Amino acid sequence: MAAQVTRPWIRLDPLRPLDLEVDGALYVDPPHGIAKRLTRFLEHPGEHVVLWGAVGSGKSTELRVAARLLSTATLAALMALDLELDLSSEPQAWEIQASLCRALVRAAERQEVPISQPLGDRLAKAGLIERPRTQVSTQASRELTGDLMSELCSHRPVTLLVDGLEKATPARAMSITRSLVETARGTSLAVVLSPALLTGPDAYEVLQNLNLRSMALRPAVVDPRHGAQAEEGQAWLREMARRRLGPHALPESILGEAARSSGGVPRTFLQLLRDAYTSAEFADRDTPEGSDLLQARREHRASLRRLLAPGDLDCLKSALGTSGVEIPVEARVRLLAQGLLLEYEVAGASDPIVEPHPLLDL
Amino acid sequence: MTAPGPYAALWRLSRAGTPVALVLYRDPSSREDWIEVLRELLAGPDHEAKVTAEVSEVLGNVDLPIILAVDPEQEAECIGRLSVARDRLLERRRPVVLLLQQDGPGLRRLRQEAALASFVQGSPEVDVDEEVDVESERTDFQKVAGFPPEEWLSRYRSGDIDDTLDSALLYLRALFLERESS
Repeated sequence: MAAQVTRPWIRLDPLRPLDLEVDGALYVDPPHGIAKRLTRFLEHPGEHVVLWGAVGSGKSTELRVAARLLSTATLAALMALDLELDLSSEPQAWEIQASLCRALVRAAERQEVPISQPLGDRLAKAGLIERPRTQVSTQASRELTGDLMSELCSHRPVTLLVDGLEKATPARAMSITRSLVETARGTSLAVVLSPALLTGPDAYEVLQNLNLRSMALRPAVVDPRHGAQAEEGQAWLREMARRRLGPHALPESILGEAARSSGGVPRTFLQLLRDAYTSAEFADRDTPEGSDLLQARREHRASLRRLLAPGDLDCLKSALGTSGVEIPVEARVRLLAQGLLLEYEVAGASDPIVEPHPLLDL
Repeated sequence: MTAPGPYAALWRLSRAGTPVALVLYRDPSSREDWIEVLRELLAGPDHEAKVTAEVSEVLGNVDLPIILAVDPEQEAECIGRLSVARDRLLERRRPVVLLLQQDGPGLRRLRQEAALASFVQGSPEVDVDEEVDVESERTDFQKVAGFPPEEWLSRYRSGDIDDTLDSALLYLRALFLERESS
């Protein structure tokens, strides 16, 4: 057994969004440049955007990067609503307002934007920003939130970036989004929602009725059939691994194969490398070889195939390289949400194309 | 070094540093046995592994390895609650292992919870009831360890064998062979 005191793969940390305050140097600009695109939209006060994408595609990290970029010109309040609220039940209006107030106060403190003494006193008296929160009336919480936003906006434009709503049921996510849109009139807002809401029959309600602009975070193109774009996507993932692993470099062949197998989804790429590492350690080796990655691929394929429902394989095969419109909408929404079907923006194609996840080995 | 299929994956699970993993069992009558195996596998010199059926326990107790083993009829609800709170799992310093029935309601619910499914993707989803040639494994074990599994286990438990990575792996093999031979 390898005498491995340190386990370099721990630094791959596939599940955790990057904490830019601590791990900023690990961030590699992705080819899709979604954080910069988000920033450009949100710099205009009143712009409302919904961000969606496959699981593990990096939505939370990109939202954090956008918050950091926006904090140079605006007051950027980032909130992880799933950590603030119990999304397994319907939150009350005042609870949403309280979460909003907390995020705004945190952002104001971090960016050294002053809050006047009278307003600070009112917030403290209401107990809205303390934990455990004191319940206040919906009316009072709305007034306080409105006053706080107005005051902060008088110093600099305010941007709200809301993560975590994709964890709520679609109906609950919609109801909370509506509430946020109403509160954020005149300020910029970005909300992360599930692909199920943005690619299915509810999309019209989300985008048109709430006047939200849709922004998709699609996986990086990594399939060599797509030429130079795939090289760029693979290079991005390889650099991500190099920065995380530091001196524990991996052979280029392993990184390249893991990148192709991941379908361009960063979480899957990092998971494959982690699992190749543990396979290597089990076999008394410090560094993964091709056989270890093969073992990791087998395990991931088994995981993905467990998600398939009857008829899915035929649907996926028929979708190969098309825009996916011929797949029944219900199946398409589900397969995209599960990450079994991946949607790519390929240079030269007028519409995004869809491909089954390469780990399915269809 | 080789080990029976399920134990190779379980050993890797204990080393992967992932906050959440999935173990699937096929035979309902083997569930309690696997809880015990996981409990031994995940325990450390200064901590035990906790077995619970409560999702709320998983969201606290971040320094204890946890085996979340619920009755099959509770599996779907458990997966739903865990999915909503999945980012809180990232605060865990030791893993939670979900023990679910192969093709059971928990696994079916997991198909609807794409993000939680992606959390456990590739973290060994172990078919712990994989068939293994026990006799051939016993012969191989004795060749490597120098003792039959039961005797080796007795020596290991009494402290006669040093606690190294090699012996940790042999321990898993011996546990498996002891169980399969009884």
